[in-house]
Amino acid sequence: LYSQIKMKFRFCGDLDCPDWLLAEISILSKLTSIRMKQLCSEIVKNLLGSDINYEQVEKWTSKNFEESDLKAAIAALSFILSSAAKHSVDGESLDNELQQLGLPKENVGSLCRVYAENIVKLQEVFKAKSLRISKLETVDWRVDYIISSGALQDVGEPKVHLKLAKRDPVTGSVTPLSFAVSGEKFRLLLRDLKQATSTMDNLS
Amino acid sequence: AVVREFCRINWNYYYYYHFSKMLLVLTEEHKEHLKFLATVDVAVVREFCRINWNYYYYYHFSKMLLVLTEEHKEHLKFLATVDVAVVREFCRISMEFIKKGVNIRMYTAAAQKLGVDIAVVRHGVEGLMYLLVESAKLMVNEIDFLDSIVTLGFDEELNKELLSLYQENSAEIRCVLQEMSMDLPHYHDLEWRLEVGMGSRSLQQQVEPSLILRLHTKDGDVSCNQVFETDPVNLLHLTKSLESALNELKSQHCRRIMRSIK
Repeated sequence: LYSQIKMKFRFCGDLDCPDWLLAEISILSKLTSIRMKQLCSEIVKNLLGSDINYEQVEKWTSKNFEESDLKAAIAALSFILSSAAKHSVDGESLDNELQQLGLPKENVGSLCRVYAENIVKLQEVFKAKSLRISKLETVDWRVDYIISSGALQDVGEPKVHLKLAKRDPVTGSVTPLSFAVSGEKFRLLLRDLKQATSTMDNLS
Repeated sequence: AVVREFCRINWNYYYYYHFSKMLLVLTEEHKEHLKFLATVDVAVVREFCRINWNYYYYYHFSKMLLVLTEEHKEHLKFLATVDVAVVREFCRISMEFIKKGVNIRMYTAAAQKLGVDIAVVRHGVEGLMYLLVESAKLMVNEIDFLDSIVTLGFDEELNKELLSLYQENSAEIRCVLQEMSMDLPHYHDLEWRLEVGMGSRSLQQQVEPSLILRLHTKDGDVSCNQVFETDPVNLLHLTKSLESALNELKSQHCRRIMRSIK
């Protein structure tokens, strides 16, 4: 039966539903709707950043689930919730699609209710987790005025010292980057940055 | 009754004819050698069969007998001079050391308690560790293990103690050995980001899609990550290459090899 389901699902990003997920449908159907709601809330908390409280979850499902079944259920629900949030699927469409997969109506109902409550928070967290090469932490500046030097007695030039602090999102370390810019060059730099900002503003 | 007898003979012949390609053809020499068994009585033949089975067993598994060097035997002989509780303690220490690494203070403490030289204690524990690791590495079975340590001349109880130690811990030792083998960095995670370049200082009003990928790899405890960029065409090529690599697993050649390894 499951091998015949070759439809495209929005919550899978308009692709086929993965085979392993179809195989876990029967395990998910064994949950009551209350347990489903509790388990989904735990998983949403996990996706938002905290750890799953495994002892409590095991207590809820110890009656009819073995350990491997529980792990499979957590993986399946985690995938469904995160994938649906990733593709901005609304609660109703998710409801329809999960019912097409064969999940019973009450289970789907409680899952979608938890999902609809938390979709905005999930998307915010996922956005923050997105790939970033580096982040600019702080910008420090100082303007000096050079009066004279060993080569020339009367210099009279302003000079800008910039210190940019760059954060590496993988290791979390902050590296400083300092350099000095002469007056003219600094004006050019400022003009280019203003051009980039206006291009960004035109987009939004 | 005669008819019944004829039927039975017929059935046997049919049986033999049908399966005759599985009849063994004994050479003349082979028949000469086996003729000896007709000259002795049944009890002796039974004894021959038993010896034969044991030899088959040893021949088949003889490559898994451990050969202990003289030095190794010397080191382990110390275990015969202490009583069983101490040996059990040594066994526990050896397993600890295999799992977590050597702790020299344990040697000094044990040497003081037993009133022997530190070197003797150290050799005893190291000899025991080597014995366990080698046996686990070669997957020595029970009989071969006992045969290997019989050359040490220990008494029954000590042999049984060592055997039970080996059996309890061989799976764990194999896990530790597996982690120690040489390995390439493993794939851990792949993050990606699709972005569109809208303009640059040199050219404004562009539309340049590109994908930024960060590949995380792990080599034991060391994580490494690589950032690289690709355009959509290259990405298609990349996915096609990876898919064809995956399909290679399903090819006849691969399947044949995997079947023969199993």
